[in-house]
Amino acid sequence: MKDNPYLPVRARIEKIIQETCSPELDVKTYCLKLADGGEMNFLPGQFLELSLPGVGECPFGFSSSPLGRERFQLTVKRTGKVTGMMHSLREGDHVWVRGPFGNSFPLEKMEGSNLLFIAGGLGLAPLRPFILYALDASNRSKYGAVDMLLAARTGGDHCFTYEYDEWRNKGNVTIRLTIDKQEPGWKGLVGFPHDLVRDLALDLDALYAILCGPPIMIKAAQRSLMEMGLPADRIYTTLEMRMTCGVGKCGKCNIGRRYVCVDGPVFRMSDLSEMPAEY
Amino acid sequence: MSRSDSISRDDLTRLLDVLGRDMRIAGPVKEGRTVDYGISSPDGLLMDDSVSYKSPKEFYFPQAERLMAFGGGTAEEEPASEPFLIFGVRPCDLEGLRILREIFLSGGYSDPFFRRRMENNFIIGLGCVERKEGCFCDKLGIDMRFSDFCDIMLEPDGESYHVEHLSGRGRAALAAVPQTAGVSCGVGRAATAPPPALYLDENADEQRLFGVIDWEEAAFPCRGCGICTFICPTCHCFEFKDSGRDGVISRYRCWDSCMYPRFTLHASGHNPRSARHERYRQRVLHKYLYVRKNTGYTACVGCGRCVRHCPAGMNIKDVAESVMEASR
Repeated sequence: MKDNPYLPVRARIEKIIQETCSPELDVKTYCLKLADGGEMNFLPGQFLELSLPGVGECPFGFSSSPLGRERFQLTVKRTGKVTGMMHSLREGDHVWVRGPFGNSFPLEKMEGSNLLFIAGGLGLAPLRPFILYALDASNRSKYGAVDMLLAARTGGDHCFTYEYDEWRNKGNVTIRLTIDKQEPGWKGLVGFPHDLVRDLALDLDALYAILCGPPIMIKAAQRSLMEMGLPADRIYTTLEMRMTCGVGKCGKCNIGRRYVCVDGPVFRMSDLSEMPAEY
Repeated sequence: MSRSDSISRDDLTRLLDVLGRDMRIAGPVKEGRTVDYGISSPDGLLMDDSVSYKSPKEFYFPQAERLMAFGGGTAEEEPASEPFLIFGVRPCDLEGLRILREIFLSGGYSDPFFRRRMENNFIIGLGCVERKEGCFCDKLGIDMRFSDFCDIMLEPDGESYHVEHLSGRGRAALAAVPQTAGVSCGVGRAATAPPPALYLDENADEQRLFGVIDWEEAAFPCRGCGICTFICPTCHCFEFKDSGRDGVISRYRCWDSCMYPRFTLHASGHNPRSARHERYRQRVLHKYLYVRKNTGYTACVGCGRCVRHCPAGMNIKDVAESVMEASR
């Protein structure tokens, strides 16, 4: 692995959690453990490459806490060939992984500040390692208020809902859920993050915003935050690109001089705004 | 009359005969009406001034290569392939390999497959006598007669070649053959070419260069066939493909092209470069600006292949020049 970054190792699926289950959004979280008993030492924001032999390989952001290194999680939406096959696997089956790759969120730099997480749909998955890290008892005092604005198309499309109560109990944590259109029985917010964020009472001088979602959501939400007065160097996002190799060679995730797989996937908005908007 | 640092064509063939005992020899050969790199015996190699259709990059980065096989418990790395002696590589292509080495071996991760071939292959360079239609290596600061990125460099000198060894292996190879052992190589020759006239300022703002010319107009004739990327000595984008045979599933690395819409297509259907002119702009700016920002090299060596062989008559030199002019 060290000498050859293209060689994957085997990992066992220990557990599968069905997150959402509509025809348009079928999402499962896979709890994995390396077959050789080794640890996966990753940082929030990093990703790995997952292979199903004969089917192919895709990049996935880690979605679990970086503090539990013996096991790690990936959250996968059934979309194409690899994710389609992935969804047919069962607990006890094996997959192949290589990584971790990419940079991470600047955890230490953000200490002492409030955190605002804005996620669209499955965009919460790559933010969850940071959320779980910041809310962990050993780190909770390092960060101020933690606000989350979590968007999904419909009421049934939010991920990790089984954890929200636990997150709220960590103190000074606010979770707001929103959906695109009102539906019967929905008690949360209705609308898009770039509109709703304007209604939040935020101390902009002590805030870092961390965004992930569809590119259109990221672009719109960061525009709102900047119009509200949050400087671009206090807004972070993590990008999805077609990252084949993960090591800055294959050219697929190239944007300007940067490669999302090695220079990202985490970007500060002040850096992203200097890059061509090819994401 | 032969100089002391010259070898005759016959002696060169003898040198290749000896080296060919340990390595497969590849070089320019006639394939139908075109000249291309192929495996050949020394007497089948073209020793004239013709330029191959494709670049020799495939001896370092094959069009399709097996990287590994999925075993029962571990991924089994493909063993190193047998080395090649690559004969007759032109200075532009040698500079192209220098750029590929920079891209594959630096930047935090080193590509083991490319690295092994760099270590094991043996290159004999061959200077050009005349500039061919479409060539513009001189604009990129490349000496068409000489490059030191090889083991032995030959410069045609009438019926013989001026010879220079540029590595310990190159020197040892010459010394091991009776006919060339006495050749005193003119060590110390450096490439002589005027500084590059065609380049983009490496501090140029990426977004600004998106607007300095009309990229839609520049890319209008492009059909998106991607042939430019396949024959280019510096294009290096790739994709992985799995294939099974006899119950063993292997992973292959295959050339890909930034000119194809699927290259950047997300699983969601979103495509960051969905329009053809965006993909063409990526090819030009990646070569002339992005690689330059990261490594200092312009990733175009002026070999002229994409100019000569584009079915739509696209000319990267003209487009790069217009970007350079407009961005001043």
